[in-house]
Amino acid sequence: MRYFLLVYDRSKGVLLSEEEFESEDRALDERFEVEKRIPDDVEVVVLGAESREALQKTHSRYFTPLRDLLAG
Amino acid sequence: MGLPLSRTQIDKLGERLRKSEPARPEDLALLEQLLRAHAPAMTEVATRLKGLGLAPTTRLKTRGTLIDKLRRQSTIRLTAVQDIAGARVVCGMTREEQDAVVARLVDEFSEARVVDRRVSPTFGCRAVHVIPRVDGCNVEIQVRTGLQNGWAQRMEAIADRVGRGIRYGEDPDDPYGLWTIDPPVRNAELVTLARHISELIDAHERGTVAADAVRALLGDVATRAGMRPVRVDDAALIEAQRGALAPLIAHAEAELQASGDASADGPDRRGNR
Repeated sequence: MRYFLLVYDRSKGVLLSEEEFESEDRALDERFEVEKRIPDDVEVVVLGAESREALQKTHSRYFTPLRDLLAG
Repeated sequence: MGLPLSRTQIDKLGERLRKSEPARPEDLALLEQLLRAHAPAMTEVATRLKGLGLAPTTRLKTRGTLIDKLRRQSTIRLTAVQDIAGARVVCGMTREEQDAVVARLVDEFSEARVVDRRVSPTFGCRAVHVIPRVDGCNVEIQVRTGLQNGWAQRMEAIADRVGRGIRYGEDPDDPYGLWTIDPPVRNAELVTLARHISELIDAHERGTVAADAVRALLGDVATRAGMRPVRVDDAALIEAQRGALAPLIAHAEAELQASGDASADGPDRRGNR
């Protein structure tokens, strides 16, 4: 598995940053650090997947602008 | 590895997180420990799912959504929250194939609980949840068809814009807010239509509504929605848009009725939280 740290601005529907880790522990370390300094409506999440493509299938809302998501 | 806190300590932590605004740093540190303690169980579940030929993705609940859940469900204990750790499996599959995947998971995780959220959807959100307990940690495996997941992803994105409460059957934060759609539509109508579409997807997957009917409605919504929501203060414009989606909502209701779908007695019917 690979681990993807996503920082997502919910109110704007925009993925602010994305970082890939081989170690889940390291990804979680970073998540908890980032979480301490961001506002509540920004989501910080670590998703595990074999590939980014797999994530785009199960968690498409982080990667697809709302307009395209609704049209897709 | 097991959990770093006793069940009593976890529930007391949940109470403090529910009540303290903002959460205290020492409680957030305990929450971090609790979340980390779920990671090995989640990884084991993912490994076993891959062994079954599935392609799971995993996530630990975010701080915000966990605290939000405790505050929304004012009596739930933190030890009763089953989706602190989660895995998701999405496949383009029929309802029968979804049943077959669930049956394989039940074979694999013999002690797992199964919650069929197709029968009791969470405000339109449909899936089958299989919840094994591994090393003292629940891991919620969500099994969704492509259509079920597509609906859930869209509803999550809409909820981010109009208010997360719609995921729990609440009205949008601003029901009269408009989306810059041509013609603009009200938040509340968009949410109502989305819930109807969830019912239609379910009816389609049970074979009582043709795929074309679902596709036509989804396409119609896509052409009308997806623009960015804006605050409109023009009372006349807001009034003029009353019922802009009414024809689509009526169409969805007619399709459901024509399907003879016994579950169509309430597109807004409330599932278990």
